[in-house]
Amino acid sequence: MKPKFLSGIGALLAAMLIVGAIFVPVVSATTSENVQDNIADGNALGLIGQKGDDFLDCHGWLTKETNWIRYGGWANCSYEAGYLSVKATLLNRDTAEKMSHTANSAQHVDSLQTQDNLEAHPPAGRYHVLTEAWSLQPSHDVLHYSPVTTWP
Amino acid sequence: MTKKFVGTLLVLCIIGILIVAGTQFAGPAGILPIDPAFTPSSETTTPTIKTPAVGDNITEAEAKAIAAAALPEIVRVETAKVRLEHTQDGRGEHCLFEVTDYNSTVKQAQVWVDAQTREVTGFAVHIPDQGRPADPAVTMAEACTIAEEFLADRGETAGLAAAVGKHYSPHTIERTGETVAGHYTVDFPRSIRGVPCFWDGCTIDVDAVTGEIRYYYRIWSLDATRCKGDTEPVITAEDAEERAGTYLRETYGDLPGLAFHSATLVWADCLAPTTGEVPFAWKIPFDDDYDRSLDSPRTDIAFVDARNGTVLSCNYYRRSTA
Repeated sequence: MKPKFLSGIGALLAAMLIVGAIFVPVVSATTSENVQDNIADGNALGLIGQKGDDFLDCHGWLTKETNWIRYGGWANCSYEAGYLSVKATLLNRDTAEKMSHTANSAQHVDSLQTQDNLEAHPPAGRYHVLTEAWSLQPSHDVLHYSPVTTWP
Repeated sequence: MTKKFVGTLLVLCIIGILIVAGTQFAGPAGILPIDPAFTPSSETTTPTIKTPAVGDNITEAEAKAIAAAALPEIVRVETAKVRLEHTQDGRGEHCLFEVTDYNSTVKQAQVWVDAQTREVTGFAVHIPDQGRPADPAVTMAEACTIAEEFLADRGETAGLAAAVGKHYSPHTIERTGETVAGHYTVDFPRSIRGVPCFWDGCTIDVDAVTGEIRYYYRIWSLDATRCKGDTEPVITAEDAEERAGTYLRETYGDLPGLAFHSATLVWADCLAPTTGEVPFAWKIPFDDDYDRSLDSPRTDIAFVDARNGTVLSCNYYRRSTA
């Protein structure tokens, strides 16, 4: 009786170990993906849906940091374009000043992004990024305004 | 025999517990690296942005429907895209759905929908610049009237100060470098007890050729009860300018060509902490020879407390490359 009882406990523990070894990594992996999603959203880049039959899409972003506004932009094509250009300009809504810009261009690409740029200690005001992208072969133009961010 | 078997079981249990614990706590290390271009550098001090609970927000489908109702001639639910935008700035944290419809070659649009209140906080309408005339067909005065009528139609004139025709911006076609007629920007600052706010209010762009509304954005975040005290300034505008000038000279030395422009009284919501009283201040735009020499001339702003004359903010910055 006693050896059988102990064997039963042993089998149960072995089964729990096998289930744990399979189940826990799966749950952990799911959690990691969720954390990743949250970080991406935190950078204002959470693309939720990108359907539609338009060829060219562009997007500008900006974040308020301690001593500067960091900003940039990107452009995406549905398929490879012969030439693609993207320019992100930081604008002061209060004065219409073009504070600075960052740009990029390339041949035979389907996506492109600018380097981040920093505008240090801008005057108090409301800022947004105007992103302008255009392509050749095929020829398309597109504009995008980011939401407004206040400074300081 | 039995003791040996129990001992083996115990060893197996300890190994199992160690495996399970190790797998559980190794979770964060398993996060995939983010695209480097989207990762703030080590110098970044961006505050951590919390993702609002799902239950707090409207859905993507609802955001599309709201945007389509706001601009029915451009935005269609079938072709619109949705992005979720988080913003953390001086006003706190905001969560907006940005609905875009670039499907048409004639008019394209962006609509921003507050993810929690369902309010349309802004929109932009893009039309091709190619073929536009070089000069405006609409005057600034007409643009102000158009903007006023637009807000009246939306029932949004309450709590706003009179229209301020801010500036005219020609458009440069990026592809060709050609400059064509652009838009006028008209501001409607939010008015609290007869004094305009610096941040809060509506800003509208009116097409300088067609007179259409091309851009609308509304910021409305200040708690009016934080604007306290007498709204009659103790310090005159001239006195405030003099104090700002003294501060600038003492802080930055002699600034050649320093000039102050039309001081106005505001609630300096830009300088207030997230709670507490909002300063009642003189807003004084200023520039100097350096500011005016920039490709896009810069206007700095000084804020001087209108009750006690304290210089609240007088930020002046020169790029080291200039």
